[in-house]
Amino acid sequence: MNAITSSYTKTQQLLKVMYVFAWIVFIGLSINFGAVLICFIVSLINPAIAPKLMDWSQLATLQEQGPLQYYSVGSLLIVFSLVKVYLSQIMLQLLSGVKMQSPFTPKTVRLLEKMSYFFLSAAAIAYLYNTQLAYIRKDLNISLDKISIEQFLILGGLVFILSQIFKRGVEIQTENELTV
Amino acid sequence: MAIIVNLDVMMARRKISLSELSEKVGLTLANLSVLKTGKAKAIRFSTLDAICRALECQPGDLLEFTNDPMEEDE
Repeated sequence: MNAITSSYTKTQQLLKVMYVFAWIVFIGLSINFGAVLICFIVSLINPAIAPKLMDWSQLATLQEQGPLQYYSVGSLLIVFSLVKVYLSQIMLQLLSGVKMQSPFTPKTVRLLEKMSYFFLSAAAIAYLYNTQLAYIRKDLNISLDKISIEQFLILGGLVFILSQIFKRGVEIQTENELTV
Repeated sequence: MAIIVNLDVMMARRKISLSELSEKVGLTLANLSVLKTGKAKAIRFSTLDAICRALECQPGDLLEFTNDPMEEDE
């Protein structure tokens, strides 16, 4: 029993540490999203300033040579950053709501399902972005960094499987709680 | 569910309150209440044993099966 209590306490402490890290990640991603959005808006008003705000030099070249492609790529980058912020926000909700006495709750299942859909959405946005980059490389001979799709696909699949396991966990936990 | 728990009937016969029974059986009031109101999904044999000893009755006095079609649809 002492070993179980000690392991339970360690898990609680680990979750608290993860919660702090999740906040740091959320703030970092939010700042990144803000920077990308502001840079994009500033580049529309005054294209010379944007490269000075953040690492925008490759996109600045694209803006000069292909404005339509620039708007498309810029919009996708903004949406992609926003999805990442939302994913980190879901992670915060998950970590703040978890109770080790009864971890399987319908709210957790909903959050995990939402997270998996957003991971898969991120993969879809990354695919569109990379497709655009391929056209830009072919038409304008400008090379931009791709976004890796595989990690989002794998994470999306894993989190979805986890959500289904948690769904079954909710059923088992409810039955256990109603067993006298 | 088609299983009815007649705990309140046996408690009335033995003139014992829920709090007294919970002390004798070693269950919390909340858990006994879950059983009494028919919300329980399952009962452990150890719990059934403790209740039968406390109320001096048989499991059949506490549990009743009904073949009600309305309840089966639930």
